[in-house]
Amino acid sequence: MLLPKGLQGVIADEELIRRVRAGDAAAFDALVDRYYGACLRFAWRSLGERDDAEDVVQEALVRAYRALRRGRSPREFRPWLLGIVLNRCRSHARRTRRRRLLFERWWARQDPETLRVHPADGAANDDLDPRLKAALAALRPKLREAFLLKHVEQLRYEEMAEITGASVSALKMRVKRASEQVLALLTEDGA
Amino acid sequence: MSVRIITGLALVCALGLTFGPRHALAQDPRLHKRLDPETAAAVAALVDSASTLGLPAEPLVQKALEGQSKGASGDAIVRAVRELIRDLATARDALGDDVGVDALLLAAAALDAGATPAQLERLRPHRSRESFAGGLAGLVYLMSRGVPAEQSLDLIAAMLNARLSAAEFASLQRLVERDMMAGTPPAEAAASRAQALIRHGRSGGFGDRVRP
Amino acid sequence: MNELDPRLEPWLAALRKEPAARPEARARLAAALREEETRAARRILSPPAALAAAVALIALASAFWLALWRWNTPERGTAVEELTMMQFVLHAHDARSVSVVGDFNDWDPRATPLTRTGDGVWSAVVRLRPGTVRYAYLVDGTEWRADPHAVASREEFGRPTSIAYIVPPEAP
Repeated sequence: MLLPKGLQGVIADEELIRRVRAGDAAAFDALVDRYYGACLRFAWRSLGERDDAEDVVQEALVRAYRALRRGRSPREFRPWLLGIVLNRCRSHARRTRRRRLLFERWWARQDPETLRVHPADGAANDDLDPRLKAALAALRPKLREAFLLKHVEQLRYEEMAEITGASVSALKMRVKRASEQVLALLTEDGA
Repeated sequence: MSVRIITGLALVCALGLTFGPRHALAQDPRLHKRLDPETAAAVAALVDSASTLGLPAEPLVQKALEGQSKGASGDAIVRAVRELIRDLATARDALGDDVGVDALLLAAAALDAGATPAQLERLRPHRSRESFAGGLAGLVYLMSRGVPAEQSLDLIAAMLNARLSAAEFASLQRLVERDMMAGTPPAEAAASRAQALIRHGRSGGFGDRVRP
Repeated sequence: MNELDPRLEPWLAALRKEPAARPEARARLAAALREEETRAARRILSPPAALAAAVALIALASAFWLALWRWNTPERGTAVEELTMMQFVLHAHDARSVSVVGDFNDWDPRATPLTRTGDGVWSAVVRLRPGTVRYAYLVDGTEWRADPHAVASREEFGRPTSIAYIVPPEAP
Protein backbone atom coordinates (compact mmCIF):
# COMPACT_ATOMS: atom_id res chain seq x y z
CA MET A 1 0.00 0.00 0.00
CA LEU A 2 1.75 3.14 1.16
CA LEU A 3 5.51 3.30 1.30
CA PRO A 4 6.99 4.94 4.42
CA LYS A 5 7.72 8.64 4.02
CA GLY A 6 11.43 8.22 3.43
CA LEU A 7 10.92 6.09 0.35
CA GLN A 8 8.30 8.33 -1.24
CA GLY A 9 11.01 10.37 -2.89
CA VAL A 10 11.57 7.56 -5.37
CA ILE A 11 7.96 7.26 -6.47
CA ALA A 12 7.37 8.97 -9.80
CA ASP A 13 4.72 11.68 -10.14
CA GLU A 14 2.71 9.41 -12.45
CA GLU A 15 2.43 6.73 -9.81
CA LEU A 16 1.44 9.23 -7.14
CA ILE A 17 -1.20 10.69 -9.49
CA ARG A 18 -2.55 7.22 -10.13
CA ARG A 19 -2.85 6.68 -6.38
CA VAL A 20 -4.56 10.03 -5.79
CA ARG A 21 -7.13 9.15 -8.44
CA ALA A 22 -7.66 5.87 -6.65
CA GLY A 23 -8.46 7.76 -3.45
CA ASP A 24 -5.10 7.84 -1.68
CA ALA A 25 -4.96 11.25 0.04
CA ALA A 26 -1.45 10.67 1.38
CA ALA A 27 -0.19 10.36 -2.18
CA PHE A 28 -1.32 13.92 -2.76
CA ASP A 29 0.50 15.00 0.38
CA ALA A 30 3.65 13.58 -1.18
CA LEU A 31 3.05 15.63 -4.32
CA VAL A 32 2.49 18.72 -2.18
CA ASP A 33 5.77 18.14 -0.36
CA ARG A 34 7.50 17.85 -3.68
CA TYR A 35 6.06 20.92 -5.37
CA TYR A 36 4.86 23.36 -2.72
CA GLY A 37 8.15 25.26 -2.78
CA ALA A 38 8.12 25.74 -6.54
CA CYS A 39 4.48 26.84 -6.50
CA LEU A 40 5.15 29.31 -3.73
CA ARG A 41 8.21 30.61 -5.49
CA PHE A 42 6.32 31.26 -8.71
CA ALA A 43 3.28 32.79 -7.02
CA TRP A 44 5.37 34.98 -4.73
CA ARG A 45 7.54 36.34 -7.54
CA SER A 46 4.45 36.81 -9.67
CA LEU A 47 2.33 38.64 -7.12
CA GLY A 48 5.03 40.29 -5.03
CA GLU A 49 3.37 39.53 -1.68
CA ARG A 50 4.03 36.41 0.33
CA ASP A 51 0.64 36.31 2.05
CA ASP A 52 -1.22 36.55 -1.23
CA ALA A 53 1.07 33.91 -2.73
CA GLU A 54 0.32 31.47 0.08
CA ASP A 55 -3.42 31.96 -0.41
CA VAL A 56 -3.11 31.46 -4.16
CA VAL A 57 -0.98 28.33 -3.81
CA GLN A 58 -3.53 26.90 -1.41
CA GLU A 59 -6.36 27.56 -3.85
CA ALA A 60 -4.36 26.03 -6.66
CA LEU A 61 -3.48 22.88 -4.76
CA VAL A 62 -7.07 22.32 -3.67
CA ARG A 63 -8.18 22.66 -7.29
CA ALA A 64 -5.45 20.32 -8.44
CA TYR A 65 -6.56 17.77 -5.89
CA ARG A 66 -10.16 18.10 -6.95
CA ALA A 67 -9.25 17.69 -10.61
CA LEU A 68 -7.18 14.59 -9.96
CA ARG A 69 -9.94 13.05 -7.86
CA ARG A 70 -12.34 13.70 -10.70
CA GLY A 71 -10.15 11.80 -13.12
CA ARG A 72 -7.74 14.34 -14.62
CA SER A 73 -4.52 12.67 -15.66
CA PRO A 74 -1.94 15.27 -16.69
CA ARG A 75 1.02 13.96 -18.65
CA GLU A 76 3.46 16.17 -16.80
CA PHE A 77 2.42 17.11 -13.28
CA ARG A 78 4.72 20.07 -12.63
CA PRO A 79 3.80 22.21 -15.68
CA TRP A 80 0.14 21.35 -15.21
CA LEU A 81 0.26 22.39 -11.56
CA LEU A 82 2.14 25.59 -12.36
CA GLY A 83 -0.56 26.32 -14.94
CA ILE A 84 -3.20 26.17 -12.21
CA VAL A 85 -1.08 28.40 -9.98
CA LEU A 86 -0.67 30.85 -12.83
CA ASN A 87 -4.42 31.02 -13.39
CA ARG A 88 -5.07 31.56 -9.71
CA CYS A 89 -2.44 34.32 -9.70
CA ARG A 90 -4.15 36.03 -12.61
CA SER A 91 -7.59 35.88 -11.07
CA HIS A 92 -6.26 37.05 -7.71
CA ALA A 93 -4.51 39.99 -9.33
CA ARG A 94 -7.71 40.92 -11.17
CA ARG A 95 -9.81 40.76 -7.99
CA THR A 96 -7.36 42.72 -5.89
CA ARG A 97 -6.79 45.31 -8.56
CA ARG A 98 -10.51 45.74 -9.05
CA ARG A 99 -11.21 46.06 -5.37
CA ARG A 100 -8.39 48.49 -4.70
CA LEU A 101 -9.40 50.54 -7.70
CA LEU A 102 -13.01 50.61 -6.53
CA PHE A 103 -11.97 51.71 -3.07
CA GLU A 104 -9.53 54.34 -4.29
CA ARG A 105 -12.05 55.78 -6.72
CA TRP A 106 -14.70 55.87 -4.02
CA TRP A 107 -12.29 57.36 -1.50
CA ALA A 108 -11.23 60.04 -3.97
CA ARG A 109 -14.88 61.10 -4.34
CA GLN A 110 -15.22 61.72 -0.61
CA ASP A 111 -14.99 65.06 1.15
CA PRO A 112 -11.34 66.17 1.04
CA GLU A 113 -11.60 66.90 4.74
CA THR A 114 -11.23 63.21 5.52
CA LEU A 115 -8.05 62.41 7.33
CA ARG A 116 -4.84 60.54 6.61
CA VAL A 117 -5.03 57.34 4.65
CA HIS A 118 -2.86 54.69 6.18
CA PRO A 119 0.49 54.72 4.44
CA ALA A 120 1.29 51.62 2.42
CA ASP A 121 4.38 50.10 3.97
CA GLY A 122 6.77 47.80 2.24
CA ALA A 123 6.35 44.14 3.16
CA ALA A 124 8.89 43.09 5.73
CA ASN A 125 8.64 39.54 4.55
CA ASP A 126 11.29 39.10 1.96
CA ASP A 127 14.99 38.47 1.68
CA LEU A 128 15.08 39.23 -2.02
CA ASP A 129 17.26 42.14 -3.13
CA PRO A 130 14.94 45.17 -3.32
CA ARG A 131 16.30 46.11 -6.74
CA LEU A 132 15.35 42.70 -8.07
CA LYS A 133 11.92 42.98 -6.48
CA ALA A 134 11.44 46.40 -8.05
CA ALA A 135 12.63 45.17 -11.44
CA LEU A 136 10.12 42.32 -11.40
CA ALA A 137 7.33 44.57 -10.17
CA ALA A 138 8.00 46.98 -13.02
CA LEU A 139 7.37 44.28 -15.62
CA ARG A 140 3.94 44.02 -17.13
CA PRO A 141 2.20 40.90 -15.81
CA LYS A 142 2.41 38.81 -18.98
CA LEU A 143 6.11 39.56 -19.38
CA ARG A 144 6.78 38.73 -15.74
CA GLU A 145 4.88 35.44 -16.05
CA ALA A 146 6.82 34.40 -19.12
CA PHE A 147 10.12 35.42 -17.56
CA LEU A 148 9.47 33.45 -14.39
CA LEU A 149 8.20 30.37 -16.17
CA LYS A 150 11.20 30.27 -18.47
CA HIS A 151 14.11 31.35 -16.36
CA VAL A 152 13.01 30.44 -12.84
CA GLU A 153 10.69 27.48 -13.25
CA GLN A 154 12.65 26.49 -16.36
CA LEU A 155 9.77 25.13 -18.36
CA ARG A 156 10.03 24.39 -22.07
CA TYR A 157 8.35 26.83 -24.43
CA GLU A 158 5.88 24.16 -25.53
CA GLU A 159 4.84 23.60 -21.91
CA MET A 160 4.54 27.34 -21.37
CA ALA A 161 2.38 27.65 -24.48
CA GLU A 162 0.05 24.98 -23.19
CA ILE A 163 -0.52 26.60 -19.82
CA THR A 164 -0.61 30.26 -20.85
CA GLY A 165 -2.52 29.86 -24.09
CA ALA A 166 0.01 32.04 -25.92
CA SER A 167 2.03 30.93 -28.93
CA VAL A 168 5.63 29.81 -28.59
CA SER A 169 6.85 32.76 -30.63
CA ALA A 170 4.87 35.24 -28.54
CA LEU A 171 6.33 33.72 -25.40
CA LYS A 172 9.87 33.88 -26.74
CA MET A 173 9.34 37.56 -27.48
CA ARG A 174 7.95 38.19 -23.97
CA VAL A 175 10.88 36.42 -22.31
CA LYS A 176 13.36 38.39 -24.40
CA ARG A 177 11.69 41.73 -23.62
CA ALA A 178 11.37 40.89 -19.94
CA SER A 179 15.04 39.93 -19.69
CA GLU A 180 16.07 43.15 -21.38
CA GLN A 181 13.92 45.28 -19.11
CA VAL A 182 15.03 43.53 -15.94
CA LEU A 183 18.66 43.81 -16.93
CA ALA A 184 18.27 47.47 -17.79
CA LEU A 185 16.75 48.23 -14.38
CA LEU A 186 19.33 46.20 -12.51
CA THR A 187 22.32 47.72 -14.24
CA GLU A 188 20.96 51.28 -14.16
CA ASP A 189 23.24 52.48 -11.43
CA GLY A 190 26.19 50.95 -13.22
CA ALA A 191 26.12 47.85 -11.04
CA MET B 1 -33.31 20.57 -20.47
CA SER B 2 -30.36 18.95 -18.78
CA VAL B 3 -30.11 18.82 -15.04
CA ARG B 4 -27.05 21.06 -15.19
CA ILE B 5 -28.99 23.83 -16.92
CA ILE B 6 -31.85 23.60 -14.45
CA THR B 7 -29.46 23.69 -11.53
CA GLY B 8 -27.66 26.65 -13.09
CA LEU B 9 -30.91 28.58 -13.57
CA ALA B 10 -32.01 27.79 -10.05
CA LEU B 11 -28.69 29.02 -8.73
CA VAL B 12 -29.02 32.26 -10.67
CA CYS B 13 -32.56 32.75 -9.32
CA ALA B 14 -31.44 32.05 -5.80
CA LEU B 15 -28.51 34.43 -6.06
CA GLY B 16 -30.73 37.07 -7.62
CA LEU B 17 -33.19 36.77 -4.77
CA THR B 18 -30.45 36.88 -2.19
CA PHE B 19 -28.40 39.73 -3.54
CA GLY B 20 -30.78 41.59 -5.80
CA PRO B 21 -32.87 43.70 -3.44
CA ARG B 22 -29.79 44.85 -1.50
CA HIS B 23 -30.88 48.42 -2.00
CA ALA B 24 -33.75 47.87 0.41
CA LEU B 25 -31.39 46.46 3.03
CA ALA B 26 -29.30 49.62 2.96
CA GLN B 27 -32.32 51.67 3.95
CA ASP B 28 -31.90 50.59 7.53
CA PRO B 29 -34.95 51.89 9.42
CA ARG B 30 -32.80 52.74 12.43
CA LEU B 31 -30.99 55.40 10.45
CA HIS B 32 -34.16 57.15 9.44
CA LYS B 33 -35.66 56.88 12.89
CA ARG B 34 -32.70 58.38 14.72
CA LEU B 35 -30.98 60.72 12.26
CA ASP B 36 -32.21 63.77 10.41
CA PRO B 37 -33.22 62.94 6.81
CA GLU B 38 -30.10 64.45 5.21
CA THR B 39 -27.67 62.64 7.47
CA ALA B 40 -29.65 59.41 7.23
CA ALA B 41 -29.51 59.55 3.44
CA ALA B 42 -25.78 60.30 3.45
CA VAL B 43 -25.03 57.45 5.82
CA ALA B 44 -27.28 55.07 3.88
CA ALA B 45 -25.36 55.93 0.73
CA LEU B 46 -22.07 55.25 2.50
CA VAL B 47 -23.36 51.91 3.75
CA ASP B 48 -24.37 51.06 0.21
CA SER B 49 -20.92 51.91 -1.14
CA ALA B 50 -19.35 49.87 1.60
CA SER B 51 -21.42 46.84 0.59
CA THR B 52 -20.14 47.24 -2.95
CA LEU B 53 -16.66 47.16 -1.53
CA GLY B 54 -17.58 44.00 0.33
CA LEU B 55 -17.51 45.60 3.78
CA PRO B 56 -20.03 44.86 6.56
CA ALA B 57 -22.92 47.27 7.11
CA GLU B 58 -23.71 46.81 10.79
CA PRO B 59 -20.58 48.47 12.26
CA LEU B 60 -21.26 51.49 10.07
CA VAL B 61 -24.86 51.77 11.21
CA GLN B 62 -23.72 51.44 14.82
CA LYS B 63 -21.16 54.18 14.33
CA ALA B 64 -23.89 56.51 13.07
CA LEU B 65 -26.16 55.63 16.01
CA GLU B 66 -23.27 56.23 18.41
CA GLY B 67 -22.80 59.68 16.95
CA GLN B 68 -26.49 60.49 17.26
CA SER B 69 -26.51 59.25 20.84
CA LYS B 70 -23.59 61.47 21.73
CA GLY B 71 -25.18 64.53 20.12
CA ALA B 72 -22.74 64.80 17.23
CA SER B 73 -23.49 66.89 14.16
CA GLY B 74 -24.55 65.27 10.89
CA ASP B 75 -21.20 66.21 9.37
CA ALA B 76 -19.27 64.59 12.18
CA ILE B 77 -21.35 61.44 11.86
CA VAL B 78 -20.79 61.18 8.11
CA ARG B 79 -17.08 61.79 8.55
CA ALA B 80 -16.82 59.10 11.21
CA VAL B 81 -18.63 56.53 9.07
CA ARG B 82 -16.33 57.31 6.16
CA GLU B 83 -13.25 56.89 8.30
CA LEU B 84 -14.54 53.60 9.60
CA ILE B 85 -15.01 52.37 6.04
CA ARG B 86 -11.44 53.38 5.30
CA ASP B 87 -10.16 51.58 8.40
CA LEU B 88 -12.17 48.42 7.73
CA ALA B 89 -10.92 48.35 4.12
CA THR B 90 -7.34 48.84 5.27
CA ALA B 91 -7.71 46.14 7.91
CA ARG B 92 -9.15 43.74 5.37
CA ASP B 93 -6.33 44.46 2.94
CA ALA B 94 -3.80 43.72 5.65
CA LEU B 95 -5.43 40.62 7.08
CA GLY B 96 -7.16 39.04 4.09
CA ASP B 97 -10.69 38.60 2.80
CA ASP B 98 -11.78 35.76 5.00
CA VAL B 99 -11.53 37.58 8.32
CA GLY B 100 -14.69 38.07 10.41
CA VAL B 101 -16.32 41.35 11.47
CA ASP B 102 -15.11 41.06 15.06
CA ALA B 103 -11.51 40.76 13.96
CA LEU B 104 -11.92 43.60 11.46
CA LEU B 105 -13.27 45.93 14.15
CA LEU B 106 -10.40 45.11 16.46
CA ALA B 107 -7.89 45.53 13.65
CA ALA B 108 -9.42 48.93 12.89
CA ALA B 109 -8.98 49.79 16.57
CA ALA B 110 -5.34 48.71 16.33
CA LEU B 111 -4.86 51.00 13.34
CA ASP B 112 -6.41 53.80 15.40
CA ALA B 113 -3.99 53.03 18.20
CA GLY B 114 -1.11 53.58 15.79
CA ALA B 115 -0.38 50.21 14.24
CA THR B 116 0.55 50.29 10.56
CA PRO B 117 -0.97 47.97 7.95
CA ALA B 118 2.40 46.26 7.56
CA GLN B 119 2.45 45.54 11.28
CA LEU B 120 -1.05 44.08 11.13
CA GLU B 121 0.03 41.93 8.21
CA ARG B 122 2.42 40.14 10.53
CA LEU B 123 -0.61 38.50 12.13
CA ARG B 124 -2.19 37.51 8.84
CA PRO B 125 -0.79 33.96 8.79
CA HIS B 126 -2.74 33.26 11.98
CA ARG B 127 -6.09 34.43 10.74
CA SER B 128 -7.65 30.96 10.54
CA ARG B 129 -7.11 30.35 14.22
CA GLU B 130 -10.22 30.32 16.37
CA SER B 131 -8.55 32.70 18.81
CA PHE B 132 -7.52 35.19 16.12
CA ALA B 133 -9.98 37.88 17.20
CA GLY B 134 -8.94 37.25 20.81
CA GLY B 135 -5.34 37.79 19.75
CA LEU B 136 -6.25 41.07 18.07
CA ALA B 137 -8.04 42.14 21.25
CA GLY B 138 -4.80 41.38 23.10
CA LEU B 139 -2.88 43.49 20.61
CA VAL B 140 -5.22 46.46 21.01
CA TYR B 141 -5.03 46.07 24.78
CA LEU B 142 -1.23 46.02 24.93
CA MET B 143 -0.89 48.99 22.62
CA SER B 144 -3.45 50.98 24.58
CA ARG B 145 -1.39 50.42 27.73
CA GLY B 146 1.70 51.82 26.08
CA VAL B 147 3.54 48.66 25.01
CA PRO B 148 5.30 49.58 21.73
CA ALA B 149 3.62 48.21 18.59
CA GLU B 150 6.50 45.98 17.51
CA GLN B 151 6.80 44.37 20.91
CA SER B 152 3.05 43.95 21.19
CA LEU B 153 3.06 42.20 17.83
CA ASP B 154 5.96 39.96 18.84
CA LEU B 155 4.10 38.83 21.94
CA ILE B 156 0.72 38.35 20.27
CA ALA B 157 2.24 36.53 17.29
CA ALA B 158 4.10 34.23 19.67
CA MET B 159 0.91 33.53 21.61
CA LEU B 160 -1.04 32.80 18.43
CA ASN B 161 1.77 30.53 17.30
CA ALA B 162 1.52 28.67 20.58
CA ARG B 163 -2.18 28.15 19.80
CA LEU B 164 -3.36 29.88 22.95
CA SER B 165 -7.10 30.28 23.32
CA ALA B 166 -9.14 33.47 23.37
CA ALA B 167 -9.64 32.94 27.10
CA GLU B 168 -5.88 32.94 27.56
CA PHE B 169 -5.58 36.22 25.72
CA ALA B 170 -8.23 37.59 28.06
CA SER B 171 -6.27 36.38 31.08
CA LEU B 172 -3.19 38.12 29.70
CA GLN B 173 -5.14 41.33 29.99
CA ARG B 174 -6.25 40.60 33.56
CA LEU B 175 -2.79 39.63 34.70
CA VAL B 176 -1.04 42.59 33.10
CA GLU B 177 -3.64 44.97 34.60
CA ARG B 178 -2.90 43.49 38.00
CA ASP B 179 0.86 43.78 37.57
CA MET B 180 0.53 47.36 36.40
CA MET B 181 -1.51 48.25 39.48
CA ALA B 182 1.31 46.78 41.55
CA GLY B 183 3.72 49.11 39.78
CA THR B 184 5.28 46.97 37.05
CA PRO B 185 5.87 48.82 33.77
CA PRO B 186 3.40 47.54 31.14
CA ALA B 187 5.99 46.29 28.62
CA GLU B 188 7.73 44.24 31.28
CA ALA B 189 4.49 42.84 32.66
CA ALA B 190 3.28 41.97 29.17
CA ALA B 191 6.48 40.14 28.25
CA SER B 192 6.66 38.04 31.38
CA ARG B 193 2.95 37.18 31.48
CA ALA B 194 2.86 36.28 27.79
CA GLN B 195 5.89 34.05 28.14
CA ALA B 196 4.39 32.35 31.17
CA LEU B 197 1.15 31.65 29.31
CA ILE B 198 3.05 30.23 26.35
CA ARG B 199 5.22 28.03 28.54
CA HIS B 200 2.23 26.80 30.53
CA GLY B 201 0.40 25.99 27.32
CA ARG B 202 3.33 23.97 25.95
CA SER B 203 4.10 22.05 29.12
CA GLY B 204 0.47 21.30 29.88
CA GLY B 205 0.66 18.08 27.91
CA PHE B 206 -2.74 18.72 26.43
CA GLY B 207 -1.63 18.01 22.90
CA ASP B 208 -3.59 20.07 20.43
CA ARG B 209 -5.12 22.58 22.84
CA VAL B 210 -7.87 20.37 24.15
CA ARG B 211 -10.02 22.60 26.27
CA PRO B 212 -10.37 21.81 29.96
CA MET C 1 17.57 35.09 -29.48
CA ASN C 2 17.12 32.94 -26.46
CA GLU C 3 20.64 33.03 -25.13
CA LEU C 4 20.39 34.17 -21.58
CA ASP C 5 22.44 37.29 -20.88
CA PRO C 6 25.11 36.08 -18.44
CA ARG C 7 24.73 39.25 -16.38
CA LEU C 8 21.29 37.97 -15.30
CA GLU C 9 22.68 34.74 -13.88
CA PRO C 10 23.47 35.89 -10.32
CA TRP C 11 20.03 37.45 -10.05
CA LEU C 12 18.38 34.30 -11.32
CA ALA C 13 20.19 32.24 -8.73
CA ALA C 14 18.44 34.33 -6.07
CA LEU C 15 15.07 33.98 -7.80
CA ARG C 16 15.44 30.23 -8.20
CA LYS C 17 15.79 29.61 -4.49
CA GLU C 18 12.72 27.80 -3.27
CA PRO C 19 11.26 29.68 -0.29
CA ALA C 20 10.75 27.70 2.90
CA ALA C 21 7.09 26.99 3.63
CA ARG C 22 5.63 28.64 6.70
CA PRO C 23 4.06 26.11 9.08
CA GLU C 24 0.83 28.11 9.44
CA ALA C 25 0.41 28.14 5.67
CA ARG C 26 1.00 24.40 5.42
CA ALA C 27 -1.45 23.82 8.26
CA ARG C 28 -4.12 25.89 6.50
CA LEU C 29 -3.48 23.97 3.30
CA ALA C 30 -3.80 20.64 5.07
CA ALA C 31 -7.11 21.76 6.57
CA ALA C 32 -8.38 22.92 3.18
CA LEU C 33 -7.45 19.60 1.56
CA ARG C 34 -9.20 17.65 4.31
CA GLU C 35 -12.29 19.79 3.80
CA GLU C 36 -12.12 19.16 0.07
CA GLU C 37 -11.98 15.45 0.67
CA THR C 38 -15.09 15.61 2.82
CA ARG C 39 -16.82 17.63 0.16
CA ALA C 40 -15.79 15.19 -2.55
CA ALA C 41 -17.43 12.37 -0.66
CA ARG C 42 -20.70 14.32 -0.53
CA ARG C 43 -20.65 15.43 -4.15
CA ILE C 44 -22.40 12.41 -5.63
CA LEU C 45 -25.87 13.65 -6.44
CA SER C 46 -28.26 11.84 -8.76
CA PRO C 47 -30.21 13.99 -11.26
CA PRO C 48 -33.52 13.97 -9.33
CA ALA C 49 -31.64 14.84 -6.17
CA ALA C 50 -29.88 17.68 -7.98
CA LEU C 51 -33.26 19.00 -9.10
CA ALA C 52 -34.62 18.80 -5.57
CA ALA C 53 -31.51 20.60 -4.34
CA ALA C 54 -32.06 23.37 -6.90
CA VAL C 55 -35.68 23.86 -5.81
CA ALA C 56 -34.64 23.82 -2.17
CA LEU C 57 -32.02 26.46 -2.95
CA ILE C 58 -34.66 28.83 -4.35
CA ALA C 59 -36.94 28.21 -1.39
CA LEU C 60 -34.07 28.79 1.00
CA ALA C 61 -33.04 32.03 -0.66
CA SER C 62 -36.64 33.30 -0.53
CA ALA C 63 -36.97 32.40 3.12
CA PHE C 64 -33.62 34.02 3.88
CA TRP C 65 -34.65 37.20 2.11
CA LEU C 66 -38.01 37.29 3.86
CA ALA C 67 -36.39 36.83 7.25
CA LEU C 68 -33.84 39.55 6.55
CA TRP C 69 -36.56 41.93 5.41
CA ARG C 70 -38.55 41.38 8.59
CA TRP C 71 -35.74 41.26 11.08
CA ASN C 72 -33.42 44.12 10.33
CA THR C 73 -31.92 44.36 13.78
CA PRO C 74 -29.04 42.03 14.60
CA GLU C 75 -30.09 40.83 18.06
CA ARG C 76 -33.34 39.29 16.92
CA GLY C 77 -33.06 35.73 15.81
CA THR C 78 -29.84 35.13 17.76
CA ALA C 79 -30.22 31.77 19.42
CA VAL C 80 -30.30 32.15 23.18
CA GLU C 81 -27.61 29.48 23.64
CA GLU C 82 -25.11 31.63 21.73
CA LEU C 83 -25.34 34.56 24.12
CA THR C 84 -22.94 35.15 26.99
CA MET C 85 -23.61 36.96 30.23
CA MET C 86 -21.55 40.11 30.58
CA GLN C 87 -21.45 42.23 33.68
CA PHE C 88 -21.03 45.96 33.36
CA VAL C 89 -19.70 47.65 36.48
CA LEU C 90 -19.00 51.29 37.20
CA HIS C 91 -17.90 53.07 40.34
CA ALA C 92 -19.85 56.33 40.47
CA HIS C 93 -20.43 57.43 43.99
CA ASP C 94 -22.35 60.63 43.41
CA ALA C 95 -24.36 59.46 40.45
CA ARG C 96 -28.13 59.43 40.44
CA SER C 97 -28.43 57.24 37.39
CA VAL C 98 -26.07 55.21 35.22
CA SER C 99 -26.73 53.37 32.01
CA VAL C 100 -24.54 51.49 29.58
CA VAL C 101 -24.92 52.45 25.95
CA GLY C 102 -23.40 50.57 23.05
CA ASP C 103 -23.56 48.46 19.90
CA PHE C 104 -25.72 45.88 21.61
CA ASN C 105 -28.59 48.27 22.32
CA ASP C 106 -28.25 50.50 19.26
CA TRP C 107 -26.70 53.21 21.47
CA ASP C 108 -30.01 53.84 23.21
CA PRO C 109 -29.24 55.59 26.54
CA ARG C 110 -32.45 54.30 28.12
CA ALA C 111 -32.19 50.66 27.12
CA THR C 112 -29.79 49.30 29.73
CA PRO C 113 -29.81 51.07 33.09
CA LEU C 114 -27.43 49.96 35.83
CA THR C 115 -28.59 49.39 39.36
CA ARG C 116 -26.81 50.69 42.40
CA THR C 117 -25.66 47.61 44.23
CA GLY C 118 -23.35 48.82 46.92
CA ASP C 119 -21.18 51.67 48.01
CA GLY C 120 -21.14 53.72 44.85
CA VAL C 121 -21.06 50.59 42.72
CA TRP C 122 -23.44 50.33 39.80
CA SER C 123 -23.89 47.19 37.77
CA ALA C 124 -25.99 45.41 35.19
CA VAL C 125 -25.83 41.96 33.69
CA VAL C 126 -26.56 41.74 29.99
CA ARG C 127 -26.76 38.82 27.61
CA LEU C 128 -24.48 39.54 24.69
CA ARG C 129 -23.40 37.85 21.52
CA PRO C 130 -19.73 36.88 21.82
CA GLY C 131 -17.38 39.11 19.88
CA THR C 132 -16.41 42.74 19.69
CA VAL C 133 -18.57 45.24 21.51
CA ARG C 134 -18.21 49.01 21.68
CA TYR C 135 -19.88 50.93 24.50
CA ALA C 136 -19.65 53.63 27.13
CA TYR C 137 -21.31 54.53 30.42
CA LEU C 138 -23.68 57.47 30.67
CA VAL C 139 -23.90 59.07 34.12
CA ASP C 140 -26.93 61.19 35.01
CA GLY C 141 -27.88 61.33 31.37
CA THR C 142 -25.11 63.79 30.57
CA GLU C 143 -21.64 62.56 31.43
CA TRP C 144 -20.04 59.87 29.23
CA ARG C 145 -17.43 57.66 30.82
CA ALA C 146 -15.10 54.97 29.54
CA ASP C 147 -14.78 51.54 31.13
CA PRO C 148 -11.40 51.28 32.87
CA HIS C 149 -11.54 47.51 32.46
CA ALA C 150 -12.14 47.52 28.72
CA VAL C 151 -9.60 46.35 26.16
CA ALA C 152 -9.12 49.97 25.13
CA SER C 153 -10.88 53.31 25.13
CA ARG C 154 -10.67 56.33 22.92
CA GLU C 155 -12.52 59.52 22.14
CA GLU C 156 -15.30 59.22 19.61
CA PHE C 157 -17.39 62.26 18.78
CA GLY C 158 -15.59 64.03 21.58
CA ARG C 159 -16.69 61.52 24.21
CA PRO C 160 -15.05 58.33 25.44
CA THR C 161 -15.91 54.94 23.93
CA SER C 162 -14.63 51.61 25.16
CA ILE C 163 -14.11 48.42 23.24
CA ALA C 164 -14.31 44.94 24.70
CA TYR C 165 -13.98 41.47 23.30
CA ILE C 166 -16.32 38.85 24.68
CA VAL C 167 -14.72 35.44 24.45
CA PRO C 168 -16.91 32.83 22.77
CA PRO C 169 -17.94 30.03 25.12
CA GLU C 170 -15.54 27.09 25.06
CA ALA C 171 -16.56 24.28 22.74
CA PRO C 172 -17.34 21.10 24.66
